[in-house]
Amino acid sequence: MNNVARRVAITGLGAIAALGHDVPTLWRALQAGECGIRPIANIASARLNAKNAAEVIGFDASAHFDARRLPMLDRTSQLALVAAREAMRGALPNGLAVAGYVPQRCGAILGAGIGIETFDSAYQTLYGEGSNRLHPLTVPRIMPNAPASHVSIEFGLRGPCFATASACASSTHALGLSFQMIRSGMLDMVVSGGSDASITVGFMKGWDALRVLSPDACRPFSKDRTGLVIGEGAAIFVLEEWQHAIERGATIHGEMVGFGMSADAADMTAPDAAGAAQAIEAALTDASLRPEQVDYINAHGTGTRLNDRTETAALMQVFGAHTQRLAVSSTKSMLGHCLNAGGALEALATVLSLRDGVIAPTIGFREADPECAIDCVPNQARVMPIAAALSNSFAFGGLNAVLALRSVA
Amino acid sequence: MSALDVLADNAGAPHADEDPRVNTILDIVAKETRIERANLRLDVRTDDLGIASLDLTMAVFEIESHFKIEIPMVAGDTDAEFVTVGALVHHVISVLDRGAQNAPGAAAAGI
Repeated sequence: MNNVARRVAITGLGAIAALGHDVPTLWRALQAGECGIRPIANIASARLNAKNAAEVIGFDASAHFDARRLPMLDRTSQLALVAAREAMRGALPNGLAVAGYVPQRCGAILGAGIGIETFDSAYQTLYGEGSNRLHPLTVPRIMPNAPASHVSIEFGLRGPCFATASACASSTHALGLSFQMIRSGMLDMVVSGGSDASITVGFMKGWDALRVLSPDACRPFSKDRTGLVIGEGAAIFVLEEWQHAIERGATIHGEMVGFGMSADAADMTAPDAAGAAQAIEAALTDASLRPEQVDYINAHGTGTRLNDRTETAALMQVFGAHTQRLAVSSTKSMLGHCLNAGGALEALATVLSLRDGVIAPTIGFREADPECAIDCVPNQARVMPIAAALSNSFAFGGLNAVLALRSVA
Repeated sequence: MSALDVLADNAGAPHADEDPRVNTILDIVAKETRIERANLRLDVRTDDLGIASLDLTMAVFEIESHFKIEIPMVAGDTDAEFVTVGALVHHVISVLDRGAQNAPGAAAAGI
């Protein structure tokens, strides 16, 4: 088989986040410009400075998992499994064998999904309440590979299974590596993406201390932006080798065509335009796309002063005059910053934009910023045909990951 | 005659009549391991019942919670820990009896 010609189809999508517990609900809300950022409801927020977050509300884990399995699952794994089930129902409703897949050539690669809630409550028990005893499943719930392992176990995927750790680019790196493994001929199918459920008092106090949280809303690219808002959720993709997906009659939502990554090698928290531009260029080169062929970019767009102007500078550097013709939106304005799940949720929004020809807006936009001179699709979704798009993730640690996606022509 | 003596004398059968704690312990083990309660005879090896080590660990955790005790590892040989259902029951009862003898100190020990 000529591996050079192998292409990668996106055949399954699953998600759960503040705006919905499945992809159709979430996508309707994103197109409507609804805001998932609300006063924190799932934890006591009295001690927090920033009292808003994009929480998954009304999620009843016992409706999804039986009482025997639940003690093994941190919320991070619960969200990952719920999204993975939706993705797999859509892509392979009758399982691997019926779709012609060998388990050993199917992977489960997810962004690191740390069991922060388990961590936080264990420390509360240990240090807060003075108990000397923790739950026996504390370690398997906390470990960052737990969501990936649960996905592998649930669907019998016996190829590579691991978690990628690159902070807010984790699930973008996971998707990119999965894409490369299918394209290279190493695998035929991968369940990939990421999940995050870190909204705990302990973790939020850490974000408070970093002084990057907005007191109210996330307003990417708006001159009056005040910082990011933490969110939670999961997004999972089923990626398949293109030809096999076609032959078995799978529904293809979009094509993954390129992946670029880079490190700023400069600063742990401050973003760097050159590093971001390098990753964008790498994704374009990998996808054999010219800059002018890109119609839409789902921005990293955190809503911090520094990120948005640095990301704009990176776009200018790569796209030059074409920058003004790009639609660039940040769905973090609606879903919050979902950290390890952020890249996958945003790649999901990008795929749906390509599929349906609708761009989800950047909401909360009030005032143009000369340092962010881009068309950020303010406040209203836009209907326009999109042939090629990028999804940007620029993480703490100076880690950049960019996916290139195309519509199914 | 103490509960431990009863267990030592009649290792083959549960002794709910003599010590209600034995019944409670076996009920918890049955619930956590999903082994038929009737099959939890004291002389049966936990391996032979197909009890996974994690399920046994969960059972120990629930027993600790129920009796508000801390069950230490059996010193020396973790592989041999709770080879039989009886060994587990024996160990728990001995911890409970020790706790009863040292009742005034139990709280101070943080148990």
